[in-house]
Amino acid sequence: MQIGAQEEELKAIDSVKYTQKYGLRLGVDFSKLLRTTIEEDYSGFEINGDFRITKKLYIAGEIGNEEKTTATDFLNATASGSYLKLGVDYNMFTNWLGMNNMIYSGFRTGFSTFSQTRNSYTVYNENQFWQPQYTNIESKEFNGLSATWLELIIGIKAEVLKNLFIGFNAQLKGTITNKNPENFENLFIPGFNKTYDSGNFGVGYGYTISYFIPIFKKVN
Amino acid sequence: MKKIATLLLLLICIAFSCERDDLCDEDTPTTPKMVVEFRDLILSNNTKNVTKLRVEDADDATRVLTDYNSVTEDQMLLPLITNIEELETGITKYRVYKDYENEDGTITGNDDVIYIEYSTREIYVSRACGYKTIFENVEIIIEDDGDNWMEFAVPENDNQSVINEDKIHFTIRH
Repeated sequence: MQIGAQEEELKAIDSVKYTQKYGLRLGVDFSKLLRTTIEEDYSGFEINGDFRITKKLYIAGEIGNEEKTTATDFLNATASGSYLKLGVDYNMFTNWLGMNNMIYSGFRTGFSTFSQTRNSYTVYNENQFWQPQYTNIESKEFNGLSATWLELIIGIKAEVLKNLFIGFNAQLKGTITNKNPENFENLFIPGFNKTYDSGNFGVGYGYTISYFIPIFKKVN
Repeated sequence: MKKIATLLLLLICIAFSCERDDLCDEDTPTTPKMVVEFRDLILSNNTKNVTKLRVEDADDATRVLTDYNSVTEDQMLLPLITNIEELETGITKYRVYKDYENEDGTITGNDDVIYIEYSTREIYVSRACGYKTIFENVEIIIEDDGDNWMEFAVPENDNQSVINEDKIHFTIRH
């Protein structure tokens, strides 16, 4: 509140106009890069970007590729494919003059096309009088799968060096469409993340590092 | 900031509360057992108890089916072998005693061996439960030992399948 007051005061005294920088911010999700090197059953890459359209609003999007192997006691499957997310971010943070940090919330619509390979499965049987249960190790690929979803996002982006930002965001999602393979199910959707038995929702997160390319300046 | 903290907390809670999804719920129907009912030979609509019923692995008398060790029942639920390759015929063999008694190792009673023959198919259930096996074209063959207490077995339908445990699949008349 005090900062806002100060801003007003300064404006009143000087007739200097304070401009805001507008432009394109491009980055990568480094959590995906990190997971790719650490986790054996995951590889992924994401480019994200946003473009400022008003003082508070940004058009934002992500494009990426993920491959993930899901293993349970009874199932082993690998999902692989690409995704695109588009939406809007709203900056809730009031910056000091000349600063461009963000605490934002927004939404995305997501779209993914992918394939899923069922590597193996073992039949689930509560009764273990006869053992072992049937195990199928013949891998089977299901192609041409797709999903769309809606995503709520909250996050921060902080300018650590001139025009260089690091950020964190959390995502809550719900599928709108989800084309499952026959006699199987999508256990992982690239861009969406793990699916759940109990509903069509999902969660995700991202750590971003991005660079801002100023294009023009505007008074507010 | 407070709002954001709350939202984050909510997200984390949701993420963790879902872990129960990874355990297969006991109430979820998975691989079914075959339901066999004992009926009267003449009054075929009437169930008829088998006294001192014991069900065991036909090839290993020490392996008795839980809950079926010398009990009086008009039904038995039989697990079937799922470990059958595609296109092969599954065979599960049971030795079923009537009036079973074991006195210091001397076993008395009337035992009949049944062969259950079927084909298998795997059906996807859920992430937590994976696949279940269902059984199709199920038949029961009662081995003739000259002294059968079981007269014959009747399927409830033609090409009898065992998909769930909600209804009876076979009746055995005695």
